[in-house]
Amino acid sequence: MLVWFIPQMLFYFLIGDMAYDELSQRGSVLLPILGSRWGWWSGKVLTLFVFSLIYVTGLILTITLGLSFVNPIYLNSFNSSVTLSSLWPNSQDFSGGQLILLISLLYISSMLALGCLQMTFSLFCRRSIYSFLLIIGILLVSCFISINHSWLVRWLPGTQTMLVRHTFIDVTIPDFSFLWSILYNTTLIAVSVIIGFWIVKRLDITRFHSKS
Amino acid sequence: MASQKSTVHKDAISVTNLSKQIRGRVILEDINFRIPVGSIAGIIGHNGAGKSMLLRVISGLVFPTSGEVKIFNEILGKDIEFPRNTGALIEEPGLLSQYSGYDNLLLLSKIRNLINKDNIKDTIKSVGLDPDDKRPTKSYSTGMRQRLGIAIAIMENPDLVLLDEPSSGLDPEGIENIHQLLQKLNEKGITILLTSHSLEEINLLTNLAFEMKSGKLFPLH
Repeated sequence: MLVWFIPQMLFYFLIGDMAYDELSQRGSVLLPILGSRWGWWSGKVLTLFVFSLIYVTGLILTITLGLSFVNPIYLNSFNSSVTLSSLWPNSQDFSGGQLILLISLLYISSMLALGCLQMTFSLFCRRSIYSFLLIIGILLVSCFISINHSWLVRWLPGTQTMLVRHTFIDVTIPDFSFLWSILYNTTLIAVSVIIGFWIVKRLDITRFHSKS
Repeated sequence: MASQKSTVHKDAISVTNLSKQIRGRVILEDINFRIPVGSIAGIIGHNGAGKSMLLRVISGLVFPTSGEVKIFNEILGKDIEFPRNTGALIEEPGLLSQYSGYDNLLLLSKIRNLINKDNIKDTIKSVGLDPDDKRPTKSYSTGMRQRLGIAIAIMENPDLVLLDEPSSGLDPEGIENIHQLLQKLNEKGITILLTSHSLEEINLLTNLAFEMKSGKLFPLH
């Protein structure tokens, strides 16, 4: 659980001051030059996407190459013919490359979705630390609830990154497909971006709120 | 650009029945004024009188509770989201503290790509700073940060400049330097609206002045 939780917690910590803190500290300079609140907000979402991409790529490279470096036997014994069904007998068959692609897409879309939610919430409550704590809370609650409520797993935000809880690996989890996760994350991104923009569009840019 | 504007528009800024309330507290109350194109206007007032809030409303950062702001005849919040071709320094300049002054301006200039590196260096020199100073802005004094904020406001050759207490934190030589710079900008046809605590500064620089008291604006000269 910690291996799943800590890298994500670090990511949400790193992006914590991307939206509200920038707006309150540099908004009076940036927004008039950009000329549009939507331009600023869409730039934040795009930056978050790039961060997610870099972070997940770095994460996968660190795990695969790092493991090989620590114990070269893993690299020497790498066998491209090993499939998912050889690790989980009841799971669908995926090659190593497909598996990495699945993990990447699930992680990138989930981090982007929760990151957008975090940015939106920081604008709503005007404190970056609250939004960070909210996301950490969501991740922890999702993780613990999903242990004993398999029917609920696919509805909990953040569980989309849990590859082994998807139906194609764990057949005891109902209707939790890859496509479901992507659609779930896309919906969460869309809703967060729209609500975030609605807030930005109405927000007075002042320095009244201290940095969290 | 500035001279072009001056032939088309009579007023750079036109504010009508402007009010702003935050959580029931009146910050600006029924403000009415006009700033003709090409003038230097000043607003004097104590801390908390509402000067910075008025500049924030004029620059499109804060929404008025009621009333209308026109910049070069375009209604803010209706025709435009932010005033076009306007530079502003309101309270803190919002610098990236780990970058040098030059790098701060360079990064901001890349948003619109209207000016080149030589223009940036000239702007930094014009406010009395060294463009080749590689120190991060976190090591700058208050006065140096203020000068850099003014440089950001004027670097893209705006038609209108809004400056909130531009001489704040500057030594007498720095104040003199900034006054000369503002007069030079105005000679080029640029309209300037500034706020100040100093009546002497307002009298020296401006040809149109107002006093702000508890959110209300009164003509001075």
